[in-house]
Amino acid sequence: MNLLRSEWLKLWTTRTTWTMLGIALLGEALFAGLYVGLAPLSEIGDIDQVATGTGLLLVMLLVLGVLIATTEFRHGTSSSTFLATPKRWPALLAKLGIALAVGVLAGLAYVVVNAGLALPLFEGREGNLPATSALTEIYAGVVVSYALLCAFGLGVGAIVRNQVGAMIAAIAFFFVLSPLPELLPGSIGDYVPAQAIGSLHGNPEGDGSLGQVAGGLVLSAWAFALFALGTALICRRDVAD
Amino acid sequence: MPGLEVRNLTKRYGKTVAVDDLSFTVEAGRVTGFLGPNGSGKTTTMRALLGLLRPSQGEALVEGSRPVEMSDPLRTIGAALEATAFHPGRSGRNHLRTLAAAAGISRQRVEEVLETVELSGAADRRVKGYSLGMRQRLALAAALLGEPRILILDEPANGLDPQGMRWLRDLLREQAAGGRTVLVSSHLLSEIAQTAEQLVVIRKGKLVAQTSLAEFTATGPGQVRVRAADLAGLGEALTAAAGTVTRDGDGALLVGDIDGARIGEIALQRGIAIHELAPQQQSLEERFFELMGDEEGGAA
Repeated sequence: MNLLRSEWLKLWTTRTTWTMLGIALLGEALFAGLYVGLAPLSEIGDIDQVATGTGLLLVMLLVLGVLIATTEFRHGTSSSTFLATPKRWPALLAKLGIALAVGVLAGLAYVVVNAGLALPLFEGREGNLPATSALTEIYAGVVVSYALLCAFGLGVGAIVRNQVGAMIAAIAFFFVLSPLPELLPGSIGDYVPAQAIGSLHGNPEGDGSLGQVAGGLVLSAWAFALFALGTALICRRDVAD
Repeated sequence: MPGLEVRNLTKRYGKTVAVDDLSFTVEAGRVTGFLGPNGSGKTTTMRALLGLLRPSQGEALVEGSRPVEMSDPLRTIGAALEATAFHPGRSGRNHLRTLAAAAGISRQRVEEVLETVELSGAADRRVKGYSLGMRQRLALAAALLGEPRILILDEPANGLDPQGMRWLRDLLREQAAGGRTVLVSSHLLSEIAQTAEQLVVIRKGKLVAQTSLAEFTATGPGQVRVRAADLAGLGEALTAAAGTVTRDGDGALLVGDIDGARIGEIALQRGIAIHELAPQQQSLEERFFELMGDEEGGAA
């Protein structure tokens, strides 16, 4: 509990977190106002695409997850952190906890912006919305994907440790691996992270063909495997400076 | 049980040996200076004592156990490693609060240590705007946070002004007088000489000396300054008696390897009147340079 409080404080006592999440939420608001409100209906697509938004927050949370791990190594605060928790893994577990929490928090903020702006605008132009239960499922998928993606970034950051390197690695993991599924035989492609997010969001653009729950489990497996590997490495390695 | 103990510690990075079969102990109740030129392995040894790196061989012990096994780390050991290990965008107060939170230390205590290091006024500013001296103070505040029984400070005097240095010396003496174990590294010989009672001296990762400050300066093969009526004759006689004799610029002899009593006897045998016979106290700095050899000594 103490460690969770410490990590939560670390997250919110620098401007980075506020700036990143603020910009992404502003982006989603602009998407709602300008795109959903003004673009030709044929371009906007269906309600699923409106409800899952731009994916800007998704990328931000991935990066934020990377930062939660790597900032400590970049600025040398890892020494103080691991001095307070010599076994090291409890500190990383606390980081995982707050990565998931900030993902959920950002997800809820997103839902407020999307449901408050994009949906009414879309309804005003299109005239009908799907049942609330269908929307709830999409939103739940979005919130879960944010939390898991932040954990995913944390895992990559813990493995790579170098801030820029980890960010490149995390983003490459998604955008380089994304087109790969089409080259893979059978349904193996459904199990890469990017496709799993598609499944989790309810396949708005035909990404992934797993169910929402299965997509969530696949993404969880990725996130926790990377986290476990990163934690094991950090417990073994020297804290250089 | 010593507060800190290093037993046959070896740390290798690839082919480089940073610390080489190093053993020493640090006792409570007095300030121990950890002396050595830059790159001699001081920081590596300290990080091993803090559990931040694992020894290639041997062990580093805190109150007899491995640092990873400490049950209440911040109340056992406090460390100030480098004045740059802060997030530049976080305020000094928030830096301390994150550490305090991790160890369940009250916010009241954060204010106390800020007061102790005289940083209360700047505590809400972001660390990015701090001077080196202020960062040193913040690092010290972090070390003191848990009122630990052991303090490990790596070059804490760097960047402090003379006033700050005096403040630091008083603080360290106070901590040691309170029964704490205090290990302070430095390459600033004068700083160590004024603060430490015990010395651990290393060079190239190896132990050169573990001794008290008084012994360290006294055990050097000191020289004796001699003036006499017949300097040349006395010089010859002393050289014949296996002394090393040099002439200083002042018309006196500096004699090594023979003590004052023996010089007097030799002079008496030759019937040479002695005008002055003064043992020269060797300074810590001279002794240090002597041990380190010229190149390293000069760089330190």
